[in-house]
Amino acid sequence: MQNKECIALILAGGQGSRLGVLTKKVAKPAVNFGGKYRIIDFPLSNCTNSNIDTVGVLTQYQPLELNSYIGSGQPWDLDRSFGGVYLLPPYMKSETGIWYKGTANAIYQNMNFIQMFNPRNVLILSGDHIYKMNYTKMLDFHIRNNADATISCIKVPWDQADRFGIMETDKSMRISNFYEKPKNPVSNMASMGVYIFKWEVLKNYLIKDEADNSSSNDFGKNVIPSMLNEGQRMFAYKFNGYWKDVGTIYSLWEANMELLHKRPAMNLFDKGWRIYSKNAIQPPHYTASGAVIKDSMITEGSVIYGKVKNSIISSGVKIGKNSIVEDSVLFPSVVVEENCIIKKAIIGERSVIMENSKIGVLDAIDGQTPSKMCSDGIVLIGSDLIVEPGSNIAKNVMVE
Amino acid sequence: MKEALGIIFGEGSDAGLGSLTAKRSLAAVPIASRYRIIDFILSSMVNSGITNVGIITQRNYKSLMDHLGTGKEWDLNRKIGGLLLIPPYSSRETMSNENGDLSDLAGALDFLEKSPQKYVVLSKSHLICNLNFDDAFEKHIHSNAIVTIFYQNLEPKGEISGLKNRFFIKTDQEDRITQVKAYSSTNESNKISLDIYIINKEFLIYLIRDGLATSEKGSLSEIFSRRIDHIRMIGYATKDFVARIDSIKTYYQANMMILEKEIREKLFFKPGLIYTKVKDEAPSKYMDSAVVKNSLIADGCVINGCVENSIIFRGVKIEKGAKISDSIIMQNSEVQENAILEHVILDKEVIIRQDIRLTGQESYLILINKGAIV
Repeated sequence: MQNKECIALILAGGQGSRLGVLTKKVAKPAVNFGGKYRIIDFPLSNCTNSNIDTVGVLTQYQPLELNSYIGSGQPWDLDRSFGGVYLLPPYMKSETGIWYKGTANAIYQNMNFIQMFNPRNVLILSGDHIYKMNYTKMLDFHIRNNADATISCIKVPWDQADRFGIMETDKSMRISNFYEKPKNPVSNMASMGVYIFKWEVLKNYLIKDEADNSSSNDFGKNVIPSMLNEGQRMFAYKFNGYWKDVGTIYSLWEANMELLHKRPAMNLFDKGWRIYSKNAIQPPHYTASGAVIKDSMITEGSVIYGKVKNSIISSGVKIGKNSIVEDSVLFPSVVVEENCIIKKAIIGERSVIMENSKIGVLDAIDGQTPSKMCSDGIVLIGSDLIVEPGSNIAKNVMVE
Repeated sequence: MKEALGIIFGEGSDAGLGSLTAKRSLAAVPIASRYRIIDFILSSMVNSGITNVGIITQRNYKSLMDHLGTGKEWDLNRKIGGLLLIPPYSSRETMSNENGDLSDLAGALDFLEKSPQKYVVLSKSHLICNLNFDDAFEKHIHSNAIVTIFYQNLEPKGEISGLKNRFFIKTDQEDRITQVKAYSSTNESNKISLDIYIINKEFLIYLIRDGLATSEKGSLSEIFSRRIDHIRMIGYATKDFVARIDSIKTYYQANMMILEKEIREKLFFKPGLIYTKVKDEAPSKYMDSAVVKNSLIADGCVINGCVENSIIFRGVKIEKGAKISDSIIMQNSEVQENAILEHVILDKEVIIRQDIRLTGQESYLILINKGAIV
């Protein structure tokens, strides 16, 4: 049997409940991003660009769209004879079959899959972050240190450190302490949820963790602390690039808006590190004579007659005459008819905003309750909805 | 249409596209912001259910091979059938017979004989169209035809440029073809052949073998014209939009026609979609100073300047103050600050330096070669 140096597993089972109606029908990693991508394109493309050719995608919540999106893995060049991309939902074993209980349990349930490739190391990723990272460099660091585990980390603002797994290290970057979501953080070095483990070592800890009924079977809460307690060689790998958790409506909107900066930290035009995606079959986009487009990204298949400012327009979107779209993210195949005003909105796939509608213009409207998911004035409209002509939807409202 | 296979000629009969075809076959000439000419006829075949397509290449077919790859974008990376590139073929039999469609088809003999299908949809690649062959195929079988020739009714019956090498057909009331004749000043028919055929495979194999034996020359139109009394040929009129690319002028016109809403909405979507090679470019970015009017723009562009009535391919950069109008700018070209382009065609990877001004006319287009720096 051939051995793989390193295979990747992407945890893509998260429900993403803080994304409200956007994850009503799809798993969080399948949420649209940046005009033509989905969130999972980023870890998948990072794997491809890092020459990792075997990737397991662990799905659980609403897997249908994610499964059909990934398909054979061809858009990421992951349709391989030995290796490639595998979709790994929970399944029935001889007597029992259970849902993935936690991140560590999800890997535990797929030990047979990993064993098939008998890798020296496994790279564990999460399917809900936007970043470009060369995992090869991290793997080199891991091997150079003869580490049992390497955790990628990034400096976060001190006031947010209590939302992450926080690490303390010595000068050689060996981890001395790890605190999962600490109330009083002692450091601002946060775990990015990107781990490399020696497979032989991890395997034993997964088995031990599974046997422990009191464990919640989570990497951050259980497996990593217990490895650290037992003196395993664990190192922190510093990452300096752009990394964004898009787990909330606001952070998803903000990450999209950050693409529109003059020199965005997340450069999608970098030909040396392309982000691959399943491309819609669409003609070039058409900009009509009366259209005005500024500081925006427009994807193929769109047809623009109105005004677009500071917005992300996905494939197949139509914007009618005299309509204004500002600071918004329009998902694929959204239709905005004539004479509409749309401000600071995220609009789900295939929804139709009929003529003379106003979205995100007024602060509050009687009968419309602001959503807890929305903040900072962002309006969220789900997919496949029809907003009737002349509608008026206030800021911070979620329509489903 | 599982009973038909497809054959596409990579070259037109007399491609006069200047430097655009200096290093690539006509089929591989970029068009409409993100396509190559062959995408249209190839997608038409695929959308009609043809799953076995041979493409006859003659010279400079590297870029065509690169574009088509394994055929996966057209869903033609199949175990059974799929896409086959047929490179030029020469053996003692064919050496003496170099000019003519039959000698080009000689390389496809094996492919024809080994394929299980009984009919062949045969086309030149120089047509910009979105067709479905089902209806014509049914008619072909129903009327016991050996050959079906696709045509369009030209109206009004006036002068249209580039008719010199075109063939016209005459048909009787039952659509049976009574004449196939090259255009002349005394032309009487308005039925212009599109160089798309449905042919019974056995007959095509016979034609090729016979042609090899007798060194028969000429285009298929001429070959059919000679046999007008011997075989049953019918005409099939298509009302769909078909643009034929055989000169820089018709190439330019076809691009500009796609700016029209009605043509665009049909050409790209109905009856099927047009497939092409995927490039994984980011969506195009419009900066603060961008002004774009009536233009088609593919992904991966960064626009700072002004663009009007133009066709912009993938990965083009247009800097601040640059003004582009009535032009075609191909992949990865760059137009730097304050440059002005009117009626210009830039091939791929051209750089237009600051303040350069290139002004062509609709009747006199300026064509800049691939990779040039102006």
